[in-house]
Amino acid sequence: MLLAVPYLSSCSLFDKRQIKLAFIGSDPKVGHLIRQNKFPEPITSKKINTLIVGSGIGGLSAARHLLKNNKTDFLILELDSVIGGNSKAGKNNVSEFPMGAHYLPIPTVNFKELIDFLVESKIITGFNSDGLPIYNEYYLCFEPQERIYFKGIWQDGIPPDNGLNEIEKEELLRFLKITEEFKNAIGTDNKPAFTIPLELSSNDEKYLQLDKISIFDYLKQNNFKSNFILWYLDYCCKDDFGTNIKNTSAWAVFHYFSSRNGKAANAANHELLTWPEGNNFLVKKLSAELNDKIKTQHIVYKVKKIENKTKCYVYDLVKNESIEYECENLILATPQFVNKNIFDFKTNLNFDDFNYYPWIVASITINNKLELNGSQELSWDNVIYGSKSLGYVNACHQNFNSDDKRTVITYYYNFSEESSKIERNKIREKDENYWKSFIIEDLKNAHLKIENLIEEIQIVVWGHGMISPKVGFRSSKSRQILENGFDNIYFANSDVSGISIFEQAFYRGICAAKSVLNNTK
Amino acid sequence: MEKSNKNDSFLLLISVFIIATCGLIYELIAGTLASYLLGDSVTQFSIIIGLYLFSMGIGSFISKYFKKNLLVWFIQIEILVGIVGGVSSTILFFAFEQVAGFEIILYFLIMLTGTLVGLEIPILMKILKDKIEFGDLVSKVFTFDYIGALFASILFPLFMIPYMGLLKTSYFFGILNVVVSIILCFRFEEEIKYVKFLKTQALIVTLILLLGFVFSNKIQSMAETISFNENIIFSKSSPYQRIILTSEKGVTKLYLNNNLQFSSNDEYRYHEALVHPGLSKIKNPENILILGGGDGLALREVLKYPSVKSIKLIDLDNSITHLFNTSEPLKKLNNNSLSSSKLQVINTDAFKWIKETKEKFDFIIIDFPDPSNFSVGKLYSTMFYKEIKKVLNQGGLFVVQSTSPFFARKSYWCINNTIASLGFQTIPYHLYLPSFGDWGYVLAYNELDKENFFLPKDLKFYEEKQFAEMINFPKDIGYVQTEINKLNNQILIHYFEDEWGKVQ
Repeated sequence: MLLAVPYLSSCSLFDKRQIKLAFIGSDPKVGHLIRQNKFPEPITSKKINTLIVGSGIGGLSAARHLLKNNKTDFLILELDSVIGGNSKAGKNNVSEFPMGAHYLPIPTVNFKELIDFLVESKIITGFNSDGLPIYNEYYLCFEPQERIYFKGIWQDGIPPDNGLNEIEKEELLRFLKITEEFKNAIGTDNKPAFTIPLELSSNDEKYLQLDKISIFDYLKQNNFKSNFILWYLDYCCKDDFGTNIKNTSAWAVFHYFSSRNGKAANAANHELLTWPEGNNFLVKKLSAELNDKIKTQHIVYKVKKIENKTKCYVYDLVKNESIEYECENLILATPQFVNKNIFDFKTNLNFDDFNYYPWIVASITINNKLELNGSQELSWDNVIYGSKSLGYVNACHQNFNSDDKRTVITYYYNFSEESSKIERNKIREKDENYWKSFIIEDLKNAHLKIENLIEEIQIVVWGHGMISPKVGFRSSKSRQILENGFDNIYFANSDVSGISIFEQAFYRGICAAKSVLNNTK
Repeated sequence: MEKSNKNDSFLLLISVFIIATCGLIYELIAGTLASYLLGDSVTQFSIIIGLYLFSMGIGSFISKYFKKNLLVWFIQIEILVGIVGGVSSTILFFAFEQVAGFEIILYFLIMLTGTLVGLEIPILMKILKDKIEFGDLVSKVFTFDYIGALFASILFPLFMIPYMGLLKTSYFFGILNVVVSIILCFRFEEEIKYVKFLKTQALIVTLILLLGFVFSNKIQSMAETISFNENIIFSKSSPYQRIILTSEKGVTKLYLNNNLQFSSNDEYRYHEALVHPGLSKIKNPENILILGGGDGLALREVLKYPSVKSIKLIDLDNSITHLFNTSEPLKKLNNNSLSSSKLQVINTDAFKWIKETKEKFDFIIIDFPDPSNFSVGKLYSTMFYKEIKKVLNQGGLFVVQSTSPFFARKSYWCINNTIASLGFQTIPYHLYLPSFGDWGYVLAYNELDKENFFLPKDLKFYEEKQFAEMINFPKDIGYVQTEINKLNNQILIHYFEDEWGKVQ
């Protein structure tokens, strides 16, 4: 027994360094309160012209537009303790880092509202003699932008330049050629085949028929067979639409590749804007003047229609009491998986049209960033070929911190092998250590010794991630109902458009605000 | 019988001589290797010699346990010394790059060799004690031992290192050791047991060592370690870079990540040309900023201007600023500039610092390493010079070390064009540096007084009339159009890789 004492103490001395683990982000229990529906009866009743529910990009954009048009009688209610929705961010002593959305491609110059917002936020600093926007170069993604771990080495660019066989190369080029042709294609209705906002794209049947099949079937029908293109598009679908290649509408994939036609005075058209905190930077800009208009930790648990007014039942998590708001206009910037639980009346909406798969987003603090270099310097976006994860983004990429050996990388994993419900069950109640091993096992494929480099892992579990554009989403009746809104209720989440990008949420917010303004006139 | 006995003794005494030579050579190799790889030769040599002698003591001590079959043991030990001594420098070269506990391996091998060598003489004396009278024995053995030592210590620096190099030398003496054992095997064939076993062993070891000897150049280049021909006087891996300082024939050189930064015999040209053309064009310069240049050499030139009141030096790596502020020969080189009361040293990322500072400067010296990777490339970007614009006083100037317009013409002009794209006037200039070749700078300003003001008197190279020559670019290195280096394209490091890639 005595002998065991020094043995034990020496054990702990040589024990592996502890990796700090934590779950961050919103508490799922709060959101699930809505489903349980056990709230106290309201004790006060208030009147307000417009109520906005949800403080993601859609809600903030709607509020900003109302304020710009001198409409001030509104309030934003948010169930979480912080605003931002899928564009929330975390922070530790090394850097800020995204919890979800993390970049904005250079927008098309025709998207005037967005360009104006970027000017107002000093992201665009001026225009050149051709009228092209000049971007603040601290926000344009620095080189090196992306790399892929392919056939045992890191290579510049995704897809890689080296290591593809002739068939893979041919198929990749053929696919990219189609996307290039679609970039400049105009439909019979004189609208661009694919553009952002998506709602302004052509309704020409020639392009709309792509919405009737999955991109997987499209590839099969058009003789794309190589493993690489299948992996690459599956990766793209998960990364941009939060679901796999078989679930995604081919139209959505072509929209992704062919709608980005941004122009800038000081950047190429495929470039993008990014920040250490990801799109939370844009959240801060959107909400700059909304401080006194936002109430966090307020759950809207019931929406009732009474004559031509709407009543919202709201539970204040801090005061532990309920309030009844009577409003002329209601903007629901919340996703449909929330809305379906709060309507106190029948709608024609089919909520099964809206799918949200779960995600893990883990921010990993690395104690020696140089060790991640390999044959290529650490890029902003780092993808591992063959992995089911989406790789990681270097949160410190836009920082100037060469004096700090550490960095934070944000690791993304989308769960969409089976139905969203089954996938959600799979990730339920897994603890921090489960996710630690899960992540390390995957990253080991490209960084053998990564476990020794990790100081901390901060894990966000998204039970419902971004909206996924499934086959037929463009012609979905439910989506059209949401686009128009009904009975002074308007929808401003990006799921109204069917794809989850900043531009769409921003656009849906403005559309909803415009409807409110029209109503009031 | 008498005669053969005499011959045998002589043979054994010759072995003493060879063994002593080899033994000292191994010690010198270990000492040299340790100071090559670890730096600080005084410490390394002291430790190595101490450990080696101590281990020989251990060897002598355990020699008392060898009582039977002394000749067999002696031959066996010779073979062992040969293999250990022969291959240890190779092991160390490889271990240096690969293994964390390099020192442990180094000291282990030293002690192993020392112990084996320490066994040799006592055992030999026991063998000889029946053949030679004691007084004579001691005197003869130690005479040959010390002659061997003298021979080795003269041979090693004058012949072995210059003509053979470290690896070949170790293999050569390893072979010599084994040859002794082979000769003894044959001479005393009938007296010793296990003679076949010893012979085969000796043959195999000789073969291995011969292979090492023949391929030692390949091994050396494979080991990828320092191929410096110079004496390393300091070496350290800081979190940011590998710092190596060498000294040979009074010339000091600094290498960062194996790239030459300066050579003390012509650095004055580089630093005078970096500082004086710009600084002498400012009337009473007061506030100076130096970015990079932690060696204090540009600073030394700046301090020659009496009007200068305050200097800020920003260098990422405090190992450099500390080294150049503490080492005596380096302090002599920079004239103790880093101890100046006018100076404030800040060890941080230059881009981060300049983004945040509210101060303004009359003259800014930008002396970063060449743009060979993305993190350094940022410091040559439009946004960096935009920040420089903010901190430059009205009428101020800045100068940028801009790599070689000869070896990297596009890179050089890309730096010039990037600076010019922000609305600065630029004066590109260059000069010849014996250690580097043709080297380029870019001087930039918003507005400039035409006249020259104060220029220090005690310069070795630069005088006003030099400048007219320096701004003249011959055709082969003249202006070329380039893209502008931005954070989101880092075009400069692509140019640089292309151009310097062809040189190396």
